[in-house]
Amino acid sequence: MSLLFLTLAVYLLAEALYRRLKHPLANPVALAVLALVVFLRLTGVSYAEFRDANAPLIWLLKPAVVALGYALYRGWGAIKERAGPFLLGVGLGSAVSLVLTPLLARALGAPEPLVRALAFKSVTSGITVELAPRYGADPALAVPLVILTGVLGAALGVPFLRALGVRRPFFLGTALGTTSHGIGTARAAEEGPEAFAAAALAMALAGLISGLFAPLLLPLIGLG
Amino acid sequence: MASVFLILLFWLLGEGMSRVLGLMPGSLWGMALLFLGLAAGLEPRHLRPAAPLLLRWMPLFFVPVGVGAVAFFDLPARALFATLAALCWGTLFTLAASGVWGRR
Repeated sequence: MSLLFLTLAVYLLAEALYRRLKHPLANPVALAVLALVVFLRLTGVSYAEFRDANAPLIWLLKPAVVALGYALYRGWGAIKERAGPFLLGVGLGSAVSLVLTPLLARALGAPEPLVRALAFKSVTSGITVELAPRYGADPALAVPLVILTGVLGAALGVPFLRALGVRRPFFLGTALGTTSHGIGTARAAEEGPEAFAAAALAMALAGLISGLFAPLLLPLIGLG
Repeated sequence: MASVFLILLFWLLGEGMSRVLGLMPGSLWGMALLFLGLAAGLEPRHLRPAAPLLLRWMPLFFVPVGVGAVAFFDLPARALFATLAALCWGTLFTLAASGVWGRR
């Protein structure tokens, strides 16, 4: 139980730090995870013990995923006029991430549990926790990779997209939300309200689309 | 309290869909059904305060799962390198595939 309060305290501290630093790479989730990983390594508390103590928090992910339907509805108005390229981007980005990332990992010789976990790298963590076990992937391996994808996309996304000729905030937001979910959405906020709205919606929609695509696409690469 | 009840109701409906149709986990079905419900005329204010609160704190809920990263310390360097390389390239390809429709 005290381990649950530790998570709570560390997360609130990380949020306070994030508000002070105002840098998207000092993301509160990444900071809190890093601090707690160091804590477990130093104290020798096992991950299983830590996870069991935090089970009530993890359980709340399920209703929170349902609540994403509300975010989806609220965000839809902001993108209506550009629904075509938006949906194309979110759909194609999700498909590329689901299929190409595990194939790359396999080609590079990554172990099978990580190949499976990497399929969900762009799916917002709450949905990854629900989705990954259905495809033989351990959420405890997948979620850290999701967070890393968030940080990486937030760091490289805008300069990389600009180099590709993507300059309009709306599409920067679409790509950041699709690829880097919540952390990318925080980065998109710096490109203005239009980018933020597109990113927030792309994050929720990419999660849902990945849930729909996974049973169709993952069996094609032997991850059914 | 009504908003909590509605979230639980859509979750339950989602679990039912998951049993009958499979395809996705119950919570994800619940998300889709809640969106459809709102699009069909359910007043968004009935979902407040539960839905915005759950969304506000969702990052806290997955922090404990992210701590599973401790397992990465026990990986052989080669496996870790292959994983991180695939993640980097995968991230760039995903960014390109999702953003390139807005090129100009």
